[in-house]
Amino acid sequence: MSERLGPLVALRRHLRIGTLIAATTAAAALTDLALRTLPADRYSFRVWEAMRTPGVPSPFRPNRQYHRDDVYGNLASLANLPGRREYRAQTFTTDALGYHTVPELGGRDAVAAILFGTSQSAGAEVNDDETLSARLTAVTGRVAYNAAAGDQSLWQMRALAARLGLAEGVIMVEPPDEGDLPPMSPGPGDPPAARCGAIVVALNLEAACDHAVRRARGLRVSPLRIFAQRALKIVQNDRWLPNPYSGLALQARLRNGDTTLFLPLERARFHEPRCEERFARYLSWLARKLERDRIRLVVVLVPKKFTVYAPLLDPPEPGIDQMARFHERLERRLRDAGISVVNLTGPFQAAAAAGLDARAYIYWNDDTHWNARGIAVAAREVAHVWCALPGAGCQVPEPGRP
Amino acid sequence: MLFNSLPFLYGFLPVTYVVFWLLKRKTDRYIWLTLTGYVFYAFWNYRFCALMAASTLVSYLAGLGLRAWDDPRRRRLCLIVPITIDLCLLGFFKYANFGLDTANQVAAWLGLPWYFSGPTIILPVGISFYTFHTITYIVDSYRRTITPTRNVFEFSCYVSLFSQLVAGPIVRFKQIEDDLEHIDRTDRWRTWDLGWSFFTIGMIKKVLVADTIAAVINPALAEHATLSTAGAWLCMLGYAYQIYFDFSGYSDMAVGLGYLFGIRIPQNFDSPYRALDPSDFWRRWHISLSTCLRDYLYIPLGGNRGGAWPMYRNLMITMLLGGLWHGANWTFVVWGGYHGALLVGYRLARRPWDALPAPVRRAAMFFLVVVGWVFFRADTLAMAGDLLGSMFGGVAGPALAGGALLVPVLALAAAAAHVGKNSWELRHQWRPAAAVGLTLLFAVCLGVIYAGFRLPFLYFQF
Repeated sequence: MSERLGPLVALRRHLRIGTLIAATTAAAALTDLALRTLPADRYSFRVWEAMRTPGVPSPFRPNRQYHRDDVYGNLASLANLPGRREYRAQTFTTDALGYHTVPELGGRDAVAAILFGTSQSAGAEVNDDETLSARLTAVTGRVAYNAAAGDQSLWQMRALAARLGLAEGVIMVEPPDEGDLPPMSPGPGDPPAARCGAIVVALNLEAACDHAVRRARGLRVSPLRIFAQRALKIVQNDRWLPNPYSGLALQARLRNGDTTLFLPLERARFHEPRCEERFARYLSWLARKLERDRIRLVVVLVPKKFTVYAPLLDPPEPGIDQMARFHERLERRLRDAGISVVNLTGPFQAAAAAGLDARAYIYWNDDTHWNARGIAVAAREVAHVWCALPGAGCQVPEPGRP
Repeated sequence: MLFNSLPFLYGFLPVTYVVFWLLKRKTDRYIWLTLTGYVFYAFWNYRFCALMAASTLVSYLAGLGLRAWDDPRRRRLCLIVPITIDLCLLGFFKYANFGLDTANQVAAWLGLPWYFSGPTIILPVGISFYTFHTITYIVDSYRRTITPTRNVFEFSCYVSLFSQLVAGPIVRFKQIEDDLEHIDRTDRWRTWDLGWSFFTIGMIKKVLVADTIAAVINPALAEHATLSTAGAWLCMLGYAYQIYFDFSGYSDMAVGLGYLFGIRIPQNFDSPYRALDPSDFWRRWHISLSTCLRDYLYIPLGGNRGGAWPMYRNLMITMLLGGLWHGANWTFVVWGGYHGALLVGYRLARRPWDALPAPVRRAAMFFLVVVGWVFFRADTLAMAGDLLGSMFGGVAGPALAGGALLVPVLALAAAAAHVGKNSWELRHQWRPAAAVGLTLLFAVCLGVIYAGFRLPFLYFQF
């Protein structure tokens, strides 16, 4: 009998507060470490967190496919508004270079244009066949390679153009925010030597270095922290506890009665006058540099969601839209410099107004990004400008074609 | 670095603990604890380590002088010079901007064309605490209450002991002298469970009770002008429990950490909301500060000697300075004055007050303390006025947003604070089921810390 009770007695002896607390702390630390080695797509709610690889030139993990049936928008997540989530399925595939381009599009001889830009152009919230580059390819019959969300330096543009065999083609740029504009330098924005060290570059081990950087960056993300935050956010619902994140998104009612979310910064930018000088100088410089390589630059100006929907709010946002003014001035400056420009503000405002009553939105209601419908509008406008370029070799889409 | 942070729990504490117990010699352990104290402090701002080192060195040298000399003039010099230096440092870093602001306000009020400007001074965290440590050491050495140590590392270990460095308790040298002296002979396992028990209870008090209350009342108090009477009372009741569970939680964690290294840190809270009168409250609240104020300010001022009026004057001076010690703001001075007035009032009305039934006295005392917290919590006197207006003005308004969790947490907090045993009344010998229960609560605390829901301890600002 006492022999049978032995393990129980031993267990009771170990159930002492000091042992238990120290063991719990150690176990939590080890669990945290172990979970950090898991691929991020196991616990992420959308592709951006799961696939991004900041710190290396390629923006996403190469040769991966991410699929979830229940992704939702960044604003609903940011502001902890589960009631505002709009769940949808998303498939996001990357090629060997780590770009959101389905592998068959990356065929070396086929590329006629390369698209550089932000998460909008990358298609952060849409499926593989719905990205701007995929739609452009479908509309024009010429391959547009999606190199968005990565390094936008001239060095990277040239390197990628050479790698993809883009000769006498087009580079499309959706400029980033002012703070993220690359330097006017023909050198790399993030030199491999600075990233990996001169010896690694000399030994031609950049790929291994980038892999190591990706792994190290991955270890910085704590899934345990993410799980804990999600659990806590359930009670931070303005009922049990105040929701401290609610200010991170602006909830506004549209004229049709629906509610949509905006980034508060976009509303602030709507009212703040901006100067186009830096953008104009940078893009003119870039166009001149690319021209020497016989590459034409097409600038795509994408309006913020607030600019598109501000006139459709109930009541409409008062004041002058400074972002729209900024894009108009920049468009004029670039045209004067002989650069091809697509300003999507007008077409987007028209498409948004036309689709409002039918609830055919061109941006996700729970996100800052455009959706497939918005991208289709953008593709039509961009294709029109692209195909009008001399030697583009593509069909100009018919007006009104979806 | 906060006790309720992952770098502390996963990095600092295990490394400090393991190396400490690997070292066998007394001086090695002093050096290690000194070093870790400075590392702990440097996480906040490494530049101010030099300030603490300078204060430590001056006080240590003064202690050596007081140990060596019997000549009263020299001894007085060893008393006055280091205390003057300490107080000048404290005055400069903590009160210089306050003095300039006040002078500018007075000048503006009098219509004088003067404006005094000075540099923006960053308040070194914990300066109020380690300055008190060094001052009490010098005064006790002067009074020959203690024998100053010759070992510079023993003294620096006392001043920079990480567990009590930035938010107290204000531990006097004589209170831990014996433990420091025998630091190489302490038994690791004897206080292992006791240390973790105190630490865990402190963590639960801070993370689950104080911070939950703060999550509801802080946003509401940020919009204090719109608070209804019920909302204002809920906020101030919440703050009363928040500050108690926050600071007593920190003190429990400090005590627990002390035990893990074989150092017994004294009790700082003794169920203050069970106090029957103002004197009783100050015997129970922030004991290490109130006894310091008593021994190093009130009694030297004359204490109870010399009749009623000198005693009232001494009480008021002590409490006003005690209030000012908490922060460079008139709200703290008013809070100190309010408690001074309560102490004087109690002396004047002791008989009728003491004749009341104990539950009535407890409730009345708690009410008076909660009203006092208005001045302590308010950022400005105007805010204090707004809050008092809302509390006593019968103002209607919306309920607190997201307050559903506040009421049950307040009920639990009230039960623990008014009826339950405090950390020092517990035996800390937990049965397995209770130990598992506490561990589960500790795990929840870890989860909350992971979630980034972490507020600094309220007393860090002092």
